[in-house]
Amino acid sequence: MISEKDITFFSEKSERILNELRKDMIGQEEVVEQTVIAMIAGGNVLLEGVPGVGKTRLVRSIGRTFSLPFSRIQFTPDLMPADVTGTNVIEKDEKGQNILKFQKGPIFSNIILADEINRATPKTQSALLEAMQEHTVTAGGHTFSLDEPFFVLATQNPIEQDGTYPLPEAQMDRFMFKLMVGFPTKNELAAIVNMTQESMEEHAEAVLTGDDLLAMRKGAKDILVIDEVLDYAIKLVSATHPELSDSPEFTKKYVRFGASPRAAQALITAGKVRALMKGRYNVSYEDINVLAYPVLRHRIKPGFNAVTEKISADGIIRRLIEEVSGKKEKEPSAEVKTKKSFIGKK
Amino acid sequence: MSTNKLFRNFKFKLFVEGLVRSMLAGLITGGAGAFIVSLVYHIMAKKTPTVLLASVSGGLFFLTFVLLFFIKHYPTKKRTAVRMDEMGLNERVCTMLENRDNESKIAELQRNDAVVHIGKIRAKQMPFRLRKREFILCLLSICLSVAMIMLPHDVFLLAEEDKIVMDEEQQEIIKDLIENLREEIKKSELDEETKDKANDIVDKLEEDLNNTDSKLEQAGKIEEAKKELSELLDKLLTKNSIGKELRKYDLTKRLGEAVILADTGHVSTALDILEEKLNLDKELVTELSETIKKALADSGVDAADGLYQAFDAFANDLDLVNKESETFTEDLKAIFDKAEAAINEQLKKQAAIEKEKEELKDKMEESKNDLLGKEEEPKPSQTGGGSDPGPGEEGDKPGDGDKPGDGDKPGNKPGGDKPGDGDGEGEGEDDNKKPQGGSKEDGEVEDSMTEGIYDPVSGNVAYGKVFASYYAEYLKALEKGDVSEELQEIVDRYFDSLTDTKEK
Repeated sequence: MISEKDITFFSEKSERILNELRKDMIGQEEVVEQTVIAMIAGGNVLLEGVPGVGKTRLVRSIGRTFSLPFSRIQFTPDLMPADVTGTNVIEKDEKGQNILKFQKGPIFSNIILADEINRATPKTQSALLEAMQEHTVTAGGHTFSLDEPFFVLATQNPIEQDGTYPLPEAQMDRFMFKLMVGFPTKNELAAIVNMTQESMEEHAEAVLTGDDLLAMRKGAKDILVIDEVLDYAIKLVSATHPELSDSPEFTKKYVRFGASPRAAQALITAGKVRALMKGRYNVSYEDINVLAYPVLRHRIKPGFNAVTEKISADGIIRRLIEEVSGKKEKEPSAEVKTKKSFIGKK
Repeated sequence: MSTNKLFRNFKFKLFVEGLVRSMLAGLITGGAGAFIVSLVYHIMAKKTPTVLLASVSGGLFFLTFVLLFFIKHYPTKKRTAVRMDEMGLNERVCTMLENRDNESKIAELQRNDAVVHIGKIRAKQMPFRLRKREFILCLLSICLSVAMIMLPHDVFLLAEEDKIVMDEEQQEIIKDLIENLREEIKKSELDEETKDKANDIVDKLEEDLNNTDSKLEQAGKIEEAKKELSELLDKLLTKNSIGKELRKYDLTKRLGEAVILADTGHVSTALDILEEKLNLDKELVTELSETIKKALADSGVDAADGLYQAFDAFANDLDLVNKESETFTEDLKAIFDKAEAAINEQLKKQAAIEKEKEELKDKMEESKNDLLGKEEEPKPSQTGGGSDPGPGEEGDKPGDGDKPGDGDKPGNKPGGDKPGDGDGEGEGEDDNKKPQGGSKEDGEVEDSMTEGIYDPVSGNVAYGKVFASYYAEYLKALEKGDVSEELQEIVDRYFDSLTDTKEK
């Protein structure tokens, strides 16, 4: 059972994580915050953005902040599954006999940066499936458990599609969030240029151990969710399914496939973490609305009408929120009243 | 801290809001109910019973108010919590309410957090949810219902009465009349200017007839138009004016009478007699010339008139032959021949116009009678207006006096009397032989408005005969503003009673 001490600990740590990450990441507040939410909630994150916007730097900073073993795998078309998971190699034992020994691959780490994940073949991409969902790796008839906490932070480039292999739906579903890393504003760009003139190194310091992270995750699970909010999240996910009779007309027209039940799970789990980070002990409609974008955007597949009318996944989600909530959707914004975490400052 | 205490101010505000909204909805339905009830009674042209009106609108108001307030707007804890959360509390209050019995640590922390946040908001910050649409609907409903109640209860009936609804027969009569008049004018030998004026009268008549469905009023309009047409055509019938002046002098008395009758035979005879008198007597020629000129001047006829010019040329020729002619007798004969031809030609034209006038009048009279449902009235010649409608004194001409009803035409010899009996000036031998409804010698139309409507035997008054004329006179007086409102009612009742009597 969560205690007041746990809550205070969560508040302090999450604040420090964000502060450390801000040292290396200028702008991209929402991406940073949502990446941290996903990590605390135990979800994998797919970062999408054009080259040079700081995707890899963000992952590296997170690796430093969390003080966890960090592996980077550069995905290329010739990368083989064994290059990721590891392979059996022949070794001589003490008696001088040849034996097969499993040589762990880079996936045996706590934080995995799968850089440009869509450049590897589907066979290699699928090597990550088991690790991402079950946190285990099966090789040579043996199943190896991965160390907890385990995260996959993948990046992909939306342009230069030649020679890439779009991630299959099953794999996409394993990512809790898909975050869009946009181009920085002029002021942010100027600050980035100035900062990198001195040094390209990351400055973030380790503020959290793996055990700390697991404790925070455990604490977030106790956050309260009232029936109305839970019902709202479920309605939102159900509304993405065009095959359901009660789905909105908009969905039937513009959506080809809807989100899986994992989306509803992710919404509530991430919603709890966000609520706690915002200093609340309950999940609100706002949490669900804000997190609906990263949770749903890679889980729904826009139909032909949406493509021809240039309606993006985010546009569909925005419309769905309006349909389900019955209110005009505003841009996701910080809470009106509670701007800072007040927990532990009583 | 108990939720009641926390919610108290917010709940009170929501309570007031719920009262106002429920009341507005009640006023909308109550007003609508009053409007509908009042409308139904107005359609039935009955006065709306106040008790019914009050009970329906009051009942609807009360029902709507109670249902809406206690079902939709009553500030329950849940509703109050939702409204408080909408003030930026992010479902803290709802969560606190739902977990009020939860003993866990997190629930306790959440409750404390919620209380702290509730303390940051004030009830007066909570906006009233009163939509403009509700106010507008309420106002509209009340205004409409009040307006409907204030309207006279027979307003729809009056509107219905104001509609012009003519039966098929009535329409047919009007249509036929207008078509016949137009056709008659078109084929007549009138000059174009007169035709245009006559057509204008017919156009106005058509408009007037279509603007009312009262047969009586329509008959009045036809009578008015008939008079206008008669006056228009009478201006062309100068023979009466000229003939009347000529008749004043002994020398030209016979010629004058012949002109009035438009009888070419009489004219020829009169001229022959004159020629015989004048032969070799230059003084008489001068006297005749001067007499004609004086008669023309006194007649008031325009110098452009054909008959005027014929007589004027005759007088000039007489002057000329008196002063310069060497072969007086021969020249005088030529002048008389020329004058006879010219005068007779003009008289024929005028006779045609007169005939045209009579035909137009007959058609209008016939339509008028059809509208009023009168039976075919016997022509004056048949009702004893004159004696036997046999041939007149000079009955050698077929049609003169033979035709029934000819007696009302000036110039025809009703009852076989001498010419001039119908002139109304008492020159005839027997007043009883005056043509009824006939024209006076100057062509003025005077229908049988006063004559023959009272039957001394039965003691009945034949109002049907004079109906339209009386009504036309009444309408004229109305237009002039000569009739006061009080008098109008009396006169209207008089005509209504006559209509009823006639219909019976």
